[in-house]
Amino acid sequence: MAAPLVLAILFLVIYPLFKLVYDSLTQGDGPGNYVEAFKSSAIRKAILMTLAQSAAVTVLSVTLGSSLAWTLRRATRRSVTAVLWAAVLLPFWMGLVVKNYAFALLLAREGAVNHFLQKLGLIDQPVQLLYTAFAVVLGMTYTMIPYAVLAAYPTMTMVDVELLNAAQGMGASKRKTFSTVLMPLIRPGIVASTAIVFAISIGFYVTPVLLGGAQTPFIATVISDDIFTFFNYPRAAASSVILLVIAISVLGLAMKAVGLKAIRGGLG
Amino acid sequence: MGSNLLRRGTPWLRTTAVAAATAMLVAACGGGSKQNSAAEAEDKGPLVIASWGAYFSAATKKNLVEPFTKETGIQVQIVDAPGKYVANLQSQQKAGKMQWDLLDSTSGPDAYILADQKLVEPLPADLKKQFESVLSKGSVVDFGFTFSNLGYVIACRTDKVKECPPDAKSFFDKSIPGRRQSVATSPLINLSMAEMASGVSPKDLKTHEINLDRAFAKLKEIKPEMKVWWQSGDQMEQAYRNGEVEMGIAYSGRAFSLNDKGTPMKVVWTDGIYNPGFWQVVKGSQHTKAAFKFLEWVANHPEAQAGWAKDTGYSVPNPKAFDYMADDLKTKQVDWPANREQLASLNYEWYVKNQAEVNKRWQEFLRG
Repeated sequence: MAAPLVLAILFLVIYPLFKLVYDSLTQGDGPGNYVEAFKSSAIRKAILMTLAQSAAVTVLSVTLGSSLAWTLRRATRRSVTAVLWAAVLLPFWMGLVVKNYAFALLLAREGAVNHFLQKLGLIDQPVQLLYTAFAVVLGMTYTMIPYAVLAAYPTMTMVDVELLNAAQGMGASKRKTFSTVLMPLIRPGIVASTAIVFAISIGFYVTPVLLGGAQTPFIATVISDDIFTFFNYPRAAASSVILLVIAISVLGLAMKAVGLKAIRGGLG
Repeated sequence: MGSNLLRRGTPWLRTTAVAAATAMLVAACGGGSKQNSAAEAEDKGPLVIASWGAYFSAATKKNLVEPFTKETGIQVQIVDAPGKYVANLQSQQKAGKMQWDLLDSTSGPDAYILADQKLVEPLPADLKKQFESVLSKGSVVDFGFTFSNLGYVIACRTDKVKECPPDAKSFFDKSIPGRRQSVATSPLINLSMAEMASGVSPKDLKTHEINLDRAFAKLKEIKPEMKVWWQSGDQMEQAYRNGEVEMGIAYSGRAFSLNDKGTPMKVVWTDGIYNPGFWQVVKGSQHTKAAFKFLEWVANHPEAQAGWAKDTGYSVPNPKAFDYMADDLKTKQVDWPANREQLASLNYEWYVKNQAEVNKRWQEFLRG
């Protein structure tokens, strides 16, 4: 009885993807669309920006997210787990535009952060925080932490806490317990979380536009330029395929490292 | 369980399918007969208007659509597609069915691109003549008439800058301090401003062929001072309000409304750019007749236009509309004669011809 599902996936996922790749190779300059894309310094910069900022977001989100996930795993008091889950899920449910607008207000030249830093005497003049790569990484990390938590959490729940007690009981230091007992156990969750956060991050559009401005374009920004401002669909298709290939490679590598199950578990 | 659900669902599905097929048949027949009789009977729509969303669509609905429907009985539906007319119409054409009949205030460059690609209807000769007799000079073109006209002007926060640059030349002069912003989505505006800064007279801009090397060199010079390249009017307002920038190229109407809302702003009309929007009829729409009827209604109702201008802050083409506006409102309109004569017009024909190169270089300049 999977037939309708297969059909739906064929029509709604496989066919559009196939068409995208096909169009990128046949419309406009044909395969030359890719040459065109790589020749453009705007697209090259966008690819670099996307990869670098997404990497930063991934490191931050996964570090913070897996610590949160582990804390959730260990927390026993009902009230504590409730607060932690709320902290994870509220930003998850909040609209992306609302989150970004909040950050835009906080980071503005006359916003709360600059006021606070000036009050503390750390800076004389307000510094530019908004419309920088820093703002983009901060805003995206805030959005991605819940994904990191949810991706790492399933693996964490399967860890037998007694193993850690046993290791320490047998004289292992805290650090040693962490690196030789806990780490190998939660590694699949961490890798899954890393892959998922990175793959989602490189497709971001709203946050780089609202918090990063024109100077820190993501690939999605340039694709949107090409579609809605310049009506250059063939090059937009080529850039989309490039983005897709990067995302698939990352997920593929992760799958090879820890297996499909861990990634699937992370995706819920 | 899955199969159970499906089996239970089957009769329901079948009924729906039959109903849908019947409806489609009826619709097809109905559509056919309507087309046959269109010559004799009146075209009763319904019309679909693409508009800019939010308060903009609301103003069109309240001031234009509702009274029009009341008077003519033609139903009108508004869909929101802010800034995405060209992309949408191109894909509608590709799909072989135009879903829209009218475009509310297509931006200048897009309007000329649509006309160039034959995606909009030219005005019938008699209608064009009639529009020319009621609307202000220069506001009627082959493919429609101007609406929602605005100015791209130099605007400053008076509480932040000692002196607001009085013209394009000083705005591009780095020795005049100030954090600046400009529009990210319109290469033509930026290039035209840069050309005026290089000494091209605003009067000549309409026919001037932009010297791309010179204009981009000028833009590169000022780029470090440009702290924000805004993508939308909201973003532009916000950048002024929260002090991100002190001066910039702004929409005139929005700059005034910022001032009204408590951010002290000065608007410089000198070397500003007149940027019209255009009402256009989609080519291949099913209700071309009713669509032109709507345009005729709008052109000939200055009071409705004045109400629309009051709600949006944008300027309208019927000069009689000023009779229905308060002094404070009319002197802020770009079509108000004293303002209009200071504003430059853009060379859209040049842009349409050269857009591939212009857009590519613009993107490299902005993002690269």
